[in-house]
Amino acid sequence: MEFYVKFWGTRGSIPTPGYRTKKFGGNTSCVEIRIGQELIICDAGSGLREMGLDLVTRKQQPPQGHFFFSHAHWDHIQGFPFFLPAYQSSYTFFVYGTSAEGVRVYDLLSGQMQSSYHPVDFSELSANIQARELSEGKTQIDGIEVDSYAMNHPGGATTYSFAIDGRKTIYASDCEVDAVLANREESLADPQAPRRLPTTMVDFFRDADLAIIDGQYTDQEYLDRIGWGHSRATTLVDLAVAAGVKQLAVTHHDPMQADDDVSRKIAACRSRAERLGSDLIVFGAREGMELKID
Amino acid sequence: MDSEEYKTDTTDPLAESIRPHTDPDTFRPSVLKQTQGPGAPKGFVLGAEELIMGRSSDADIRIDASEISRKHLVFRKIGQEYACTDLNSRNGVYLNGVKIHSAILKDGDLLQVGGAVFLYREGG
Ligand SMILES: [Zn+2]
Ligand SMILES: [Zn+2]
Repeated sequence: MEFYVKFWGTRGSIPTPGYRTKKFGGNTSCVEIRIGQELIICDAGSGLREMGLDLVTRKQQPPQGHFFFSHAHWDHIQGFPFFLPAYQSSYTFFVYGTSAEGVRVYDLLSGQMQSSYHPVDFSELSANIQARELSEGKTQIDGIEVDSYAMNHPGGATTYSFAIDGRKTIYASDCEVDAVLANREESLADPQAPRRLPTTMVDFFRDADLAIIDGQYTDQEYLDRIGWGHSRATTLVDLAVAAGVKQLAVTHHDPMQADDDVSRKIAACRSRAERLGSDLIVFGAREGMELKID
Repeated sequence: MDSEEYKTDTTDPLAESIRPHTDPDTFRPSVLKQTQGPGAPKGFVLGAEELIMGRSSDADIRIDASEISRKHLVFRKIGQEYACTDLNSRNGVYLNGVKIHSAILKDGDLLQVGGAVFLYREGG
């Protein structure tokens, strides 16, 4: 079964268009995963708008789409009111969450479309949109095993894994992995020190072919943003290496980072992986890039 | 490497006619500069709506090397940009060292196809 992952939005916090962000893109979080016939959409940041425009022109239409939301911060839901397929009756979308969360995300999605914020009310959308519950954080979609893990982020955020036939992709945005390090103080005082990660987290990421993780900050930037809910990109290298991840896509780039800044952030990650003696592939997630998971 | 050192192939004789209306004195087309592999150094001007790169004799950009599939990848014009997509090639397409299925090329990107390496320079 063919397994593709495509980045439609890789910017954190707020859309950041312009010449400074031309390479990695300025749209906020949105990742498309296609496994066989199934369409999975992780987060509905502003990148979802382009994704929707592309989806309606495809020759092969998915039977339905499955939305997984990390959380309902605005940069992860703001694209939804501009998602063209939501206005077309031929589409069915499921919005997943744990029972409380599912209702909450669904309510917040519809809430941002109340008349004070948006001219079209959620109830006027023609597509069939339904909330679906995860059972103990898990579900199955046509043979695809979906699992989840609670991440450290203000208000909480959920990380998802999608696995089939021994292939696994993880979407982890937003998260402050640095906040849960066992040697947090030491790792701040000495960035070279190994970062000790919670075993449950390492287990969740174990042997992923691709892990897409919020690595908004450089080591330097993070020192002034502790507790803001985002990781140092370099910390993700330690996580990926510990878990035997094959490819790490650093995403949720800070709006202040121009393309060259993101490239330098990734170069620091590659040096760290090399220093750890790992052949981990690290790259900056960028808009329009699509990977095939073999 | 200086651009003068490249032999330049226009891959599409009609390319000039479908280029955007830009000041002809300053307009530069997008170019793929082959820096490694058979035939390098060499430059390929991108102008057509669609171009195939591969080992096949009818490929628009022909690279004669056994590790390159007959039709290895396709470049498609989207506005002023080019997207490249792997055509299920045997050895894959690498963008800045990462194996991709497809991507929109950006100035300065390095594309590796078998032993051939290309530097993409965006026109405008
Ligand atoms: Zn965010
Ligand atoms: Zn957030």
